[in-house]
Amino acid sequence: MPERTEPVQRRILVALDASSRRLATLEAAAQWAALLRAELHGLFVEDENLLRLAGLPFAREVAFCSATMRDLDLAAMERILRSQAEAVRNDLVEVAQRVRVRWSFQVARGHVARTSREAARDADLLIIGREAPGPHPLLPRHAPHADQPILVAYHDSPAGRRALEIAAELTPAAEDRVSVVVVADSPTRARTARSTCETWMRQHGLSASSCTDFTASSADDLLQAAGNCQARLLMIGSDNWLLDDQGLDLLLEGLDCPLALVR
Amino acid sequence: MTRGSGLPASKLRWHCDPEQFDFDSTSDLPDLREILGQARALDAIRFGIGIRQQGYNLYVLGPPGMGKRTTVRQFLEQQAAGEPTPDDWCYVNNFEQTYKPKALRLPCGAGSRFAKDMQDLVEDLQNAIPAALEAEDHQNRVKDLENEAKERHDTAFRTLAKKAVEHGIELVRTPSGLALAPVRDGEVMDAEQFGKLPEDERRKIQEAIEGLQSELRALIEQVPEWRKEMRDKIKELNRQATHFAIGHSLEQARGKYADSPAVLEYLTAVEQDVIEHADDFRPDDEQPQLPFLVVPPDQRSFQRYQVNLLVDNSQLQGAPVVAEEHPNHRNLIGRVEHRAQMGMLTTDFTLIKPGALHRANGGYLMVEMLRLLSQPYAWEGLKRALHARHVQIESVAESLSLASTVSLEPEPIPLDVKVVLLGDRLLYYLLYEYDRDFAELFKVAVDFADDMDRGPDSCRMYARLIATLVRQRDFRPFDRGAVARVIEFAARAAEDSQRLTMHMRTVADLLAESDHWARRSDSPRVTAGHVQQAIDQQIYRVDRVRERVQDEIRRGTLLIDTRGSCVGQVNGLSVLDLGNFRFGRPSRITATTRLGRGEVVDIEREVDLGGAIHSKGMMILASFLAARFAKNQPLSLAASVVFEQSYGKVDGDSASVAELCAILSSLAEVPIDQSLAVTGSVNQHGTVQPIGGVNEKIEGYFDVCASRGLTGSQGVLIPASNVQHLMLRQDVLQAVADGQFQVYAVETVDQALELLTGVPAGPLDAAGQYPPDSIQGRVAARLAELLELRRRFGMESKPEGKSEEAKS
Repeated sequence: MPERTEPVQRRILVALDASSRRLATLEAAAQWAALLRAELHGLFVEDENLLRLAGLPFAREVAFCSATMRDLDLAAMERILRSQAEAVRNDLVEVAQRVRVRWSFQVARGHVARTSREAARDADLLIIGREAPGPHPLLPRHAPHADQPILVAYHDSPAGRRALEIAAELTPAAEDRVSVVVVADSPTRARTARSTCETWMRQHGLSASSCTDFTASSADDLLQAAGNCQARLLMIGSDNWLLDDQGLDLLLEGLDCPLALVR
Repeated sequence: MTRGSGLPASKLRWHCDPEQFDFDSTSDLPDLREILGQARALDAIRFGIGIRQQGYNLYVLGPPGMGKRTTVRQFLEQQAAGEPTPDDWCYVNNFEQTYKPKALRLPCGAGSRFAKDMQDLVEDLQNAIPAALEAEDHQNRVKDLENEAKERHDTAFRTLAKKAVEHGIELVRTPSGLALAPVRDGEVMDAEQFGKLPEDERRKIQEAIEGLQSELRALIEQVPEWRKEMRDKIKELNRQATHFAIGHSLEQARGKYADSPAVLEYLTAVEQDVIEHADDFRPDDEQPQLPFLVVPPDQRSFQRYQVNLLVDNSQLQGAPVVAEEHPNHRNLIGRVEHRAQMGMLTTDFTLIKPGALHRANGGYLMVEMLRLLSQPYAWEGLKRALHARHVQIESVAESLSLASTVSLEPEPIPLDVKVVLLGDRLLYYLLYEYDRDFAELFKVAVDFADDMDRGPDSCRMYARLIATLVRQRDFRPFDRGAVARVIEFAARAAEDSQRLTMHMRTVADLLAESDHWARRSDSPRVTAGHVQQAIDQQIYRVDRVRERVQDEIRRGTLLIDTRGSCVGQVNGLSVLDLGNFRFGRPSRITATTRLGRGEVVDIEREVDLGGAIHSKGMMILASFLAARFAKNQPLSLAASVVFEQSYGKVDGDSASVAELCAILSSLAEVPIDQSLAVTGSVNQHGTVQPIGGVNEKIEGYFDVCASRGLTGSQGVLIPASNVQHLMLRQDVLQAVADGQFQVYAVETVDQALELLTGVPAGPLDAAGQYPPDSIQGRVAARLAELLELRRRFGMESKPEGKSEEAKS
């Protein structure tokens, strides 16, 4: 692992699965870790639902590639998950060494979203770069481009403001873009949040016009906003009320880009 | 008997009198526009060019250095200038069968425009297509289609998931598929929890899962179909957008080539291909996995729309005249080149290269025959093209299965060309005899004359030819004396005082060297002295062998007597040819005679050093002896003849007079004057016939005599019919004029004998007998003696002739 002279002040936790999008997420996370002088901590969660399923005597899966049915068994599932964890770790090491950031890696077992959030308690940023638990997507996902904006889902809370701060730090160049969508459950709260947000942005040298008129009041709204601006990253405060287990799963299922939860 | 005087000096050389010319130097003479002395050849060329039938190609015959090539080229260029310029030819991609590129014919000059237009079109399309496909409205429509498909997909799975939830079941994603699992409180039940459920509930869940699994399976089976449907819709959308985007550019191109159906057909194929491959025109943002192997996009995608302008006649005025200097198969027929890519050889229509036949199509192709024949398969390839009347590019290596790389079968190009082969006569006659295609394909023989008649008019024309060459090559002007000396040289080169050589290289070399000596002496003009110096220097540079032979004669190593007399020994004359120089060499010929049965032994022949013509000469000689002296009785003679000190091949019959004289001298025991040399062939009646190299032979003997000191009695006997060929050196002429050397012209062997022996040959008297003191009388007497001897030895009982002897 490469040595760094600067003291590590931050920690980015990146939760990964074995899907093909993990590399793009990992690459982006490593770049941000370098930018923020943060340690990159990789997390692979062995989905306990999968293990339970595989333990059932009648468990069968329908394969995506052939639509054939085959039996599942616990031993095989454990072996697959171990193998996936190893592959994820190898990728993390390769990317971190290339970008020259400190790294660590952890394998946990549990509910993916919950376990990831628990593991990210002492992290500044949790980036979830895994595929949703739903069906296989119809369209291939494209790797995000640097000229796509970072979308900040802002709500009035310390974590919400922190999301704005980190987004500003991740986009130091003028041509980098930040787009902000306000998350609120009522028009009044939305107005207040937008006003706070625009003030903060002006104070920190960001164009207030980056703050869109769109207000998200559900996970579906956020997905729509991310799709409209073709975001390369959706950044949201971890205390956002949309991020219950169901909401988080919905976002992970629908997003074409990684999701970053800011503590 | 006195010998009498020989030929006067005036008969020994034709002198070209400078005073006959009315010009001062070559600067006063106009260029010679016409081609001199080759009327037959030029008529043949005109005929060959004019006749437009298959197989009437030309073969130009004549030895190297005649100026055939220059003359033919000059003539063809004059002719071609007035003919229409042929069309351009291009190869373009065949979008249906890439390995069979299509040939397009375009009016002269349109080929390069078409290539440029296609390049511009592709550049236009590179902008227009991405603009159309990236346009917001188009992208929105694509997104609509994607969303529509996604919605159908997501809805189907959500419906299934919802249905599952109603049964307490959840759709779970596994590493390679989807599964259905019973859930309790949002968590998948483990085996223990499931086992604790009442059996009825367990059965219901399992049944529900089985039913849902079937639906899930059916759903997953639908996914590829949905993807394909979506892709097809997007493709069709892109197709429509592309068709619209490229329509204007293509219509412009079509308008330019409206009168060329082949080009219009090609443009339609281009349009279809562009629409099918519209994505190739979009910028490719993906990073290559192996960047060093990446082909630049322009090359990768748009090369297939390029035009390979195979034949560009835009700069040509009239029909082409192409001279192929290295006529191998690929240079004649064309070739398909390959490029190495990732260790493999690949090719495409842009790598088709033209051959000389392509470039000469519609005009004339000149090829040196010997070079053509020395290149494997080139002659066969040329014949095949002429027979088929089209050029089909094919690789020799592939046709012989020597190479197995990817290659092409370009569409053949119709061929309309006159091929002009240039070669020597022997090749022509051999090909005509042994190659049946040759007679069919090269029906016009253009036979270049080696020389031309000399006369006042032709001398003046020759002077103009010299003037033209002098100007063309930027030589100093030749004064009329120099011109006259060059013309004399031309007569000597023709080996005939009545003719002038047409071997232009020889003449041009002499002009160049004369010019050189004039420049060396700072003379503003080339004079006869410079020409003579050039001739002398030419000889000096190559006459080492001649000098050595002369030296050996002088030193007595090679035995040649130039005074005194000897029985059965005569000075014969031969010519040694060293390629670019030949000289005469005296040879001692001796004969011995004895009792025999009429055989004349040619010792050269016996040891395989005599050639066929020499043997023929000896047999004629034997026949002459028998006819003259043994008409009514057996010829009881055996004679042996030999070229003394000759260790190489001897051929030709020019020594047969000398050999006959030596035999008769031996028989008659009359000595031959060694101050004389003799050359000439003889027929069965004793008539002396002309020979070649008469000048060299006389000069060769003269040099021997001169080195020993001319006595006034020395000379050479030559056939009378060779007098017209005499163009002797000036020093020989001077010696003759001074009475120091003689050249005798003889018509019969008898005349030669009388000159050589000083004894009358002796014509038959009224009684049919030769005078006893005459040579023939003495020969007859000796033969009678031999016959008597033969009788005495009882030889008369033995039959004559080899076959009869074999029987005995």
